[in-house]
Amino acid sequence: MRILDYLKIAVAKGRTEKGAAEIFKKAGFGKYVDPDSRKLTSFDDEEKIAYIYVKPVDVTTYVQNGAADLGVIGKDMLLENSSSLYELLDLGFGKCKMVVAGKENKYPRGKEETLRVATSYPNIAKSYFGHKNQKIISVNLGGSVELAPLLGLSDVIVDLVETGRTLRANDLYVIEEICSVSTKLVSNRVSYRFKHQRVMELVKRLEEVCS
Amino acid sequence: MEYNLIQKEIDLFRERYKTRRIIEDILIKEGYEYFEPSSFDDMDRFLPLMNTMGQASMVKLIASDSRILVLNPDNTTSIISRIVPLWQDGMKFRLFYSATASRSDRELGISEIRQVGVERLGESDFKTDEEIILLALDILSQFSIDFVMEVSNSKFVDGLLGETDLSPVEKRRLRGLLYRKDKQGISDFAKAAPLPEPISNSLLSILNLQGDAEDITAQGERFCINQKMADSIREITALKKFLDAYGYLDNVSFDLSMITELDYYDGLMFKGYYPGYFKDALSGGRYDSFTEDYGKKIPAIGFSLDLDQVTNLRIKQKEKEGEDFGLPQNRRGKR
Repeated sequence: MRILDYLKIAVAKGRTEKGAAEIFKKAGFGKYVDPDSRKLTSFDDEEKIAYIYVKPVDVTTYVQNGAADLGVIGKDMLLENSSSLYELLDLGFGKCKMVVAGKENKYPRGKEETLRVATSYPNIAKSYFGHKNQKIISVNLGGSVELAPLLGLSDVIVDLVETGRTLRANDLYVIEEICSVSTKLVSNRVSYRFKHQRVMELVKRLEEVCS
Repeated sequence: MEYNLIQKEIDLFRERYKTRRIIEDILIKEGYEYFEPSSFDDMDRFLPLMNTMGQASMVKLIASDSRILVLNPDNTTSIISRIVPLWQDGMKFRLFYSATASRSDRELGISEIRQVGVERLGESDFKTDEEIILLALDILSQFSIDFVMEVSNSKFVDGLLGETDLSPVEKRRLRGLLYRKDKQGISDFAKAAPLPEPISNSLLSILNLQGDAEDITAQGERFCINQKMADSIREITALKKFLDAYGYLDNVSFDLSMITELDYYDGLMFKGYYPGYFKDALSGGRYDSFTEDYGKKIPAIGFSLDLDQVTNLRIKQKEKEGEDFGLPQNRRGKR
């Protein structure tokens, strides 16, 4: 099968995919196909690269297990999956912040004992509040996390914020910033060794257009 | 697909047994003695390991008197915790084990890790380091000559971080960033700490120092600011010459920024990979300081091999080459 000697890159579908297409094109990887296509794979036969489009939550799984050599994925997903992948390059787009937000710009009173946290990032929330010795109950949601405090499902949320527009539209305020997040080029440890030259060549070309 | 074929399981057991025998025969020939790590122990015994491994990954049992026990989480630790308290000066041991370690994982549940490994205790000279890495390479090449061994020396990063006044927690964070080769993260950390420029420059540069020993030692030398770092470069240079003489240089890739999961090495460390597997097949190194956690610092070096991965590799080769496959000739044996 031809895919065997290709460098396989798992790209998170959605916004990441569009940003990645732009940067890869800028770096001269011209055969990076149309992000609007519904195909799950595309092949750049000239550069011998296979792009695989998967759900953001699945990128680390693909790369970690060697189904892909490299991945293009947000730092939020790497933190949530406590991945041990090499983070070879910050691609410089998809910049946002992981924050704690609530109905006021401070923690609600009387919640000192146990805080209810709605989030799609339960591991990040657990580790952040764990370091602060704050007990939490994590309310795990797949999306529209902003609704939770409004409907009394949680005291605060832990979520990604890009412009803050969604927060403002729902009368929510940032209480604390957990960390900055952006899109990373990651590699598994074995591909990094066995395909070192090709991986580093790609990193170098992308690095030139990122900075 | 057919399920529950007991014959298939017996076939697997036979292959695993054969694989183990091949490795054990090499070790016995090299003068190693068999040692049995206990399958469970008091949790206290593994306290020094918890910093690096995390308590969550240990499988706990509660004894009838309410003591907390754990299933052996790491063979080296199990062996060290039994030997060090009884250590007497001048002792020398060459030990090997063939045992199962158990780990708990959020996603995978409880997993058994079958390992064959060696520990050399009481010998601190560089010749021992050389013998151990050669033994590791000989064992890897016994099953396939297509493999890569990452080699590093922890004294370089340790020496560098020793020049900073970072707290142990900050140091651990920085080592975590190095572990992921996260250039951006390191550069952000250096700005926020702040780290002196020569130190942050060296940290960022060593990420690029990969592969050829000649390049690495030449460039690495420029960053040396203390004896410890200079020692690491000297040892890598000597090791390169040694491995070259045994024809293994093509299999070896040097990496000055290497950090391992169980961050307990001081000096030589290495990891071996076969293509197509996404976990190291072999890993090891020198861990003198780790023994100190058990009461006494004694020279210690060793490695362990993932028996399941090597067995799987053999089975695949067997399928590919038909029944009459032969093992590749041990390179050292050919000489």
